[in-house]
Amino acid sequence: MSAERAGPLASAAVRAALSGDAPQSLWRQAARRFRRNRAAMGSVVVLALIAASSVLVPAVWPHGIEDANWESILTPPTWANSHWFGTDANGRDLFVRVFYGGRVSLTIGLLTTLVALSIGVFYGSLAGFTGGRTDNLMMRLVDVMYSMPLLFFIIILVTVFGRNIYLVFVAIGCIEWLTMARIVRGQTLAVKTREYVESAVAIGLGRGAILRRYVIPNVLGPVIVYVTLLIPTNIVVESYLSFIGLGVQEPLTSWGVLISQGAGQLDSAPWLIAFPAGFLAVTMFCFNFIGDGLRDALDPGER
Amino acid sequence: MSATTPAPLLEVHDLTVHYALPGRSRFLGGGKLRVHAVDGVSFDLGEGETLGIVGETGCGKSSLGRAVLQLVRPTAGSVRWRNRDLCTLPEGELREVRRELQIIFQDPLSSLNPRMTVGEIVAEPLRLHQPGMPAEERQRAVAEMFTRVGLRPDMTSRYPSEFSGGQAQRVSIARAMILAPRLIVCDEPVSALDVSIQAQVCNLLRDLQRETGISMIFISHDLAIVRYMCQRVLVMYLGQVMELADRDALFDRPLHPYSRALISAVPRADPQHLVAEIPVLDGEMPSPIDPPGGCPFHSRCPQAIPRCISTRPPLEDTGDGRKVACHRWREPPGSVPQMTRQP
Repeated sequence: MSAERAGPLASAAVRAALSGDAPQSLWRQAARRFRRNRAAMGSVVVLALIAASSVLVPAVWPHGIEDANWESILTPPTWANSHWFGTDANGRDLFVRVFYGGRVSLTIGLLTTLVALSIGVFYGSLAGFTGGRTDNLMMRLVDVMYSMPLLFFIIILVTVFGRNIYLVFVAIGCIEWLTMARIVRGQTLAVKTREYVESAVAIGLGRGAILRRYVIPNVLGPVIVYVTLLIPTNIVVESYLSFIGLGVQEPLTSWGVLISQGAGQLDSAPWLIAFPAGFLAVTMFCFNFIGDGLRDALDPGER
Repeated sequence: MSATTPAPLLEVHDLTVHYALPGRSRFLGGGKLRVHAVDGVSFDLGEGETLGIVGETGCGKSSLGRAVLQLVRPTAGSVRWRNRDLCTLPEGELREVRRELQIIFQDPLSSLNPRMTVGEIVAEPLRLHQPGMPAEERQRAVAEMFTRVGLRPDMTSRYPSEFSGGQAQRVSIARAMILAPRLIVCDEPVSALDVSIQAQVCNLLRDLQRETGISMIFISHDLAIVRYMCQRVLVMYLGQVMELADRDALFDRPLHPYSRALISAVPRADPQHLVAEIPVLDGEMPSPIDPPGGCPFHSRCPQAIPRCISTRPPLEDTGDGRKVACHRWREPPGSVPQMTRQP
């Protein structure tokens, strides 16, 4: 009777405890909330489709990315001859080029974010956890680097080391970790005053172990959200670098390169910019929806 | 009168903790503002003894507990633990000593890492201090500890967020006790819990103490609980010791006006003892940033005399094992003419 009355009031935790469900880690609870978010889940599906196509299409499509077909230059999108997205001024099939470009763009987005994530989490958590003068020094260095314009930095790198796709990874990653470091440092400052960190000191854990096992796992929530927003940012950065000719070079292609080429023929062949730009835009939307969904899932109290 | 005191396990001498306030850099020449959280506190603690530390919020009792365990580094003074000064111990050795010294915090949920299962949390000290222990044996030890603190051993795979406050505090106690430490600092261990749960947790702590003979520093603002838990009580005000006495002596005949004020403010469920109004201290504790000279309590003391404002009373031994810091402790409270205080 009384248990029944308490039923609707009982928290999820109590209900789980009574029914003997699987343990409710914070991650698991967040995953459940995330799965309820339709926009985010839809975005995951769309993004998965784009990613899978980017991997598969260039491998199975009858046209290669460099196959110039002089009989069908600037063909508008057609079912005939499998030129679904049309062809460019050299008669190359746009369909396969868009997905190949997706491969490059997504890879760059992921890798640069990974670089930024690793440096940023390491640097930021170290600065925040150490505190005091070290923290001050480390963050002033970040401020100095912040004041350097990205484009300027990349132009210097490219002129010194030559054009190289890996250089683009490094350059973008090297700039984008700054914001990540700031976010992680701020979170670390908040987490390190929590009593569970103090209790870890009290049992005699070393600083490294505390950082690794107590601090970093508890700052990852906002970091994950930022990651999903950083990936599209980095894809766009790569696009505009390629657009002004500093990024990916022919014969490789990316969404940025394709948009750049399409922009020149906007009047005569609008499909050349429409398809890569459309895919870029859809990808941006997806990452942003996922980021929003993750933020809501990880911080249910802060809407 | 005082029982045969066992050899002190812990000797705290003149312990001082000052916090520098942020925002004023030396570089700009601004005077450094310092919070005097703990100011020259001395006491010792014997084997199996429980010392209560009482005082109002902000009187420095938590800082004292943390400074004893070196969770905040003291500004001055010494903490001798079994004849080693923890304050000057190198960090490596200090980490080794920490297995003997544990702490239980006030807020049970924020003192458990939300990303670890409670089983992992309780096993953590074992993993660290007995790395050679096989995983199975460790799990058995954790399960046994869970039973001892009144939790079901099959709860080990749950996360802290699934626990109630009382259960979470039991997890904290399990983690603190699993290495069989010799001293445990309980920093307001029950004040975040429901009253019915408070009694359970207090009894658990007492049972564990009886089983293991562990020494305890019990920090609380709840005098009833302190009276129940402790053999000796240290009354703190503004970072300083006002009175240090055996429990019964303190509660029956408090010597310091501040102790009297604290004890008389505890409501009693006794119809013989009806009072029109509970005597309360007026005013607030002065700021520890700029503590007043003389006796720290003079601004609120009903019995203050000019000497209290000019000179700080020393912590005097009253001869029967208790200590009090008051110029007028010899005078019985009734005979003291009430003095009108200047603003």
